[in-house]
Amino acid sequence: MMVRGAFAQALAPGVHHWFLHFLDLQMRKEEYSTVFNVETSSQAFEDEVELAGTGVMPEKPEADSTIYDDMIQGGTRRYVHLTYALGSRASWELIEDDQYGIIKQVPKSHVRSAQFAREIVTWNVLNLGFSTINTIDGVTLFNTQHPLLGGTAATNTAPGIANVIFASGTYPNRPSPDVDLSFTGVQLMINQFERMPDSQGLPIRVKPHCILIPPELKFIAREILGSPGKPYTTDNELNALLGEDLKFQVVHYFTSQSAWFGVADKENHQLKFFERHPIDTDYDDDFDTRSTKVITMQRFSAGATSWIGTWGSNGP
Amino acid sequence: MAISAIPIQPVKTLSGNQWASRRIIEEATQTFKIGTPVQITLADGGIKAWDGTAGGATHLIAGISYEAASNLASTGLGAPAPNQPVTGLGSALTFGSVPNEPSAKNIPHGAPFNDGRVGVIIAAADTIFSATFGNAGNLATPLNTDVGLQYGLTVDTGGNFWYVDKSKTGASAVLLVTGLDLRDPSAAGARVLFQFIAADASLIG
Repeated sequence: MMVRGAFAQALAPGVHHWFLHFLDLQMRKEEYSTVFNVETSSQAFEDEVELAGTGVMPEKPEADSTIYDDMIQGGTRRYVHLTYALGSRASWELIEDDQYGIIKQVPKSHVRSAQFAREIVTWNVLNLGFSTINTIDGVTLFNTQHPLLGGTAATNTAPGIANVIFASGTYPNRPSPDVDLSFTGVQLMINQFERMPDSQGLPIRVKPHCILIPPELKFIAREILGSPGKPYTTDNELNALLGEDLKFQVVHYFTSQSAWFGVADKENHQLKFFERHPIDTDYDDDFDTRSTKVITMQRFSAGATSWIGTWGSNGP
Repeated sequence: MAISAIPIQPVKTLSGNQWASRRIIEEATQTFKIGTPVQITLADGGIKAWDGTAGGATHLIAGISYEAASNLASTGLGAPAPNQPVTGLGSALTFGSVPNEPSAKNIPHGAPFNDGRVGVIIAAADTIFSATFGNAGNLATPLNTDVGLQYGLTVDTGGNFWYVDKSKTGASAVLLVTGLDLRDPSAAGARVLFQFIAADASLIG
């Protein structure tokens, strides 16, 4: 409850300027929607199911029967929307005596709080992608051994992945061991993207579109991706990464200072944010006290349906 | 005749406000039903069915469940931590298996969602509950003379629901009968209104 005793400076005119953090300090531009696929939902939850197509088409020897293959239904990824809410209450006397109209602006502060909530919750999909965030295949989002629905046949089919995978029937989207953001680290990421197969081992058209980094890695990223020559060498070699057209984005909600990530463009990954109810503010007066209550609520969920089109290294 | 009690439910509050409720992480392997007295496991904070013992810090009633337990494999499985999405599967129901992906799960379409937590109506003094009235394994007719008396709770043998047990008094009592539930005609098994005794409740609102 906000009462006059806690806001004594608001009760008398004469303050030249109120430095309102929630208005005078600009919030960072929305970041999650630049990477995550933003969709709407009208249900309590959303289910997504994976389906692998058929495998390689084999030769049919003359007069021999055709080989029949089946598509494979995979698991289910469920997005359960959670409600996020914040309320504030102010006494009738405080609102009436507030000479600057500050207290009435609490909904604007709430919106800032709400925006932060959706940023941190959504980016925690990546922050926790090495530990507790699983994808539809039941293992962590960033994993050295994502099982493929096609199993061993898939990795036997996929061309040239013998030196990329760590176990038959699986594909990595994480190095082992984890590597720092570096020239060779980015090359490793690109290689794992380039060889990425579907669940039957058929190569897919996916490439890293953007490297997501914490602020601490901004300078390294600029050196690696922006140098005309190969970085950190005296040789007159081209910076081979320039041709990859890789961008980098600083994410201010990453909790690690060394973890970094690669993502394909939105069409080629399954990182998702479901908007169930947008940020919504409501208020009412308490009849007995006439104090005002303001509540801001929203409902959303975030997660990763599939690992394909994503890559992560948890630093070393 | 064995008792088949009606699930305990909250019916009103003394203040006129909505009764206090919380969704708290569920203890592993719980299978209790809606309307079950529940307690907090001191070791990990998970909600489990009340052990039926009155008195003592390890037997305090947290409230009455308003959701059935989900038989979780571990306490609070999948419950979101602060600033995190639901980290679990999102459902306690699965079927079949997924080829070559042993950790993947099939969720039946429309299966109830699960976030590792279970809802509890807090056993606050403000909340009035309603429950079937019985006496040591038999249905009993509540009388006006029962109002104001303290009784215990016993689980029935018919449906594993709990009833107000007139035979449990003194140290075995956990509730105070505050009135007759006027929805029921006066008969054996009619419901009574009650509030929990504060000394037997772990959460107060």
